Amino acid sequence: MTTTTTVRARGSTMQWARFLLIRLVRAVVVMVVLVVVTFAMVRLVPGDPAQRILGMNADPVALAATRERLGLDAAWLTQFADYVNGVLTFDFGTSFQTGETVSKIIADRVWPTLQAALLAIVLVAVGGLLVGLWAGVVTERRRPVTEATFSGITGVIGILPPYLLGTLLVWLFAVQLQWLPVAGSGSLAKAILPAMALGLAPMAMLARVVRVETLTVLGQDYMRLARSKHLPGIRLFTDHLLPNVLGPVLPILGALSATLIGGSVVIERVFARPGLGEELAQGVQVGDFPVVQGLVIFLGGVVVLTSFIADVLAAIIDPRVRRAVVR
Amino acid sequence: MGTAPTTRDEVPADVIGLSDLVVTTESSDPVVILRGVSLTVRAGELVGLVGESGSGKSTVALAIADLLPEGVVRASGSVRVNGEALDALPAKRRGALLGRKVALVLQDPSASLNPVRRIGPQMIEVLRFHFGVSRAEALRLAADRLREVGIDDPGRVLASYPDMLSGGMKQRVVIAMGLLAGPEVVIADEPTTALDVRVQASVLDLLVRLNSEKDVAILLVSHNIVAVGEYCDRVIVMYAGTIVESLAAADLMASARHPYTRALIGSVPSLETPTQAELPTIPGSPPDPGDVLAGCPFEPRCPLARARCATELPRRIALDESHTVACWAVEEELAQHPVRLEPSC
Repeated sequence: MTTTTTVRARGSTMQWARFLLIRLVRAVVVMVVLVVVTFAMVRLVPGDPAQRILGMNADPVALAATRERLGLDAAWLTQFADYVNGVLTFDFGTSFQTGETVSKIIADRVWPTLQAALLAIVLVAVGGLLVGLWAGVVTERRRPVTEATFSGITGVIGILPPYLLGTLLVWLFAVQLQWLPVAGSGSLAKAILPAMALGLAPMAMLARVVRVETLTVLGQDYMRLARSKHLPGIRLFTDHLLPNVLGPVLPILGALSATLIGGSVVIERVFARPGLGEELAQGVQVGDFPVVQGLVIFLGGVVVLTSFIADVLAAIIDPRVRRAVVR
Repeated sequence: MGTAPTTRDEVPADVIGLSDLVVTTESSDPVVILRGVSLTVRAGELVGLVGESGSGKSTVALAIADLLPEGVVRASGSVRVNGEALDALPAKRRGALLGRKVALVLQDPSASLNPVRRIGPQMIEVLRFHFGVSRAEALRLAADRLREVGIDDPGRVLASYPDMLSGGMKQRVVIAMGLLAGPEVVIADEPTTALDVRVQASVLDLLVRLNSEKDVAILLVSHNIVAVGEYCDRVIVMYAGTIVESLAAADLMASARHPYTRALIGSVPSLETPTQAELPTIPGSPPDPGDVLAGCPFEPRCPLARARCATELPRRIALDESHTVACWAVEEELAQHPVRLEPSC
């Protein structure tokens, strides 16, 4: 089998190199756009940060001094150059308000946000896949009642907004059953309710997609042929059904993960978690450019990384994905 | 029967036996798909199963492989594979029997192979799980089979993904995959319909060659009665879920008696057919699956139809030892001129 192995290695290494290159270029382009947009965005918002810091009746001389200290008197191009330079070295500047470096703010506050987001991603991925696969296999036998029940439940959960779902969950699990803490951060248990509030709706949506994909795959001739081999059921599942379902589902999961990271920033206020969301909201209110820019770039980077990982996983599982990209 | 082995028993055992098989949809108001189908395929035999779409020929293939789609069930009758009734076997033994003895080749080779796995691993599954052969040994055997079906560079093919191969190559791979377990019978459901015309003949030739070289029975499901007549030992003609005629392929052109069989033969163009000529067609269309049929399903389209045909399902009668037909007109004629229907030899 030596010839086989060499042919395989040569052909697929080239393909992989090109696939990864194309995906990396896309990620870099997204980041560049994000850097430009964040820079422009905070400056297009009306209002003068120096005025906000010093108050409406501040002395013009003090205002000018503050502007100079913050680097706001420089030309936009100079500011942009400084900004890009900073981003490349992970230096997002210091907060106008507190003087803390933005990097330190991120380091201090990232965990409550990331913890809830990661837990939500796991919930969506595992829950959505298991429920969807189960529903697909079960409803292959044309069971209208099961099908309607599934569609009904996932449809309702899928359209509930996270804060409403969050309130319901708190009432059920924290107040009535008292299984989980109401709010706060620190332990994993405290992240469960926010993660559920975030993840249940996307999980229901993903389960619907997975069910349809499962039914599609089950109806394919290659599944019929695989069944004609009468293999153990588990092999039929792991070798034939699952990889064919995962191929199209993983990129969707990647996109959902991006919204979960964004959602985590919002939902943490509901659950009183001292994460990046609190900082971001405050930063926007007072026009704290460095904080807003830094946080948006950082969160954007996490989102880009997540969808990059999802794309690579899909390409590992389904060779057609990487060939489609390379072609 | 030129390909049948002469060194074996006088009458080869049946590898497939369907007896009065009725298949319906699974609902309160079931639609009948097969209305009592009986047929046998003997060891090493090459049998063609012919009919137009909706005649139930593919359902016969799937019923033998125990792969009827969800919602479609065997209502009565039995399926025997290698002498064992499927119903009598526990699920595990049934799986082992079918996995080893029955290989399936489907219509569209591009859809028949798992697109996310390399050819090698999916080819050797049966050997790995039903025979416990090691991976390396199984891959070596797979390469041998690929050479047998006319693939010169098995190493490359085993390492390829399905969409890197042509349609003809893929169908060869599917056939080689089916042969790996050393099956008794290959069920080929329209194996050439999705292929390029030039490739069709080579795949059919391959099946015929494997049939004679490996002594494996083949049930070739097709809608092309002339092609089946050329390649097969025996031809079975289906219409609307029933078998209307079964006869030796050599007798097909001269001795086919059922009006539907005759019409099928007449509607296939040959190289001599002028391109401008209008092809003869069978007037009308087959009954819908839901239709309740009291009599012969072909009666509304039949040139020989008589009163009895509309009310009574014709029984299958034997004209000679290899020829059966289900037609009231033929039966009546037989009663009037018994001598004409004696076997000629």
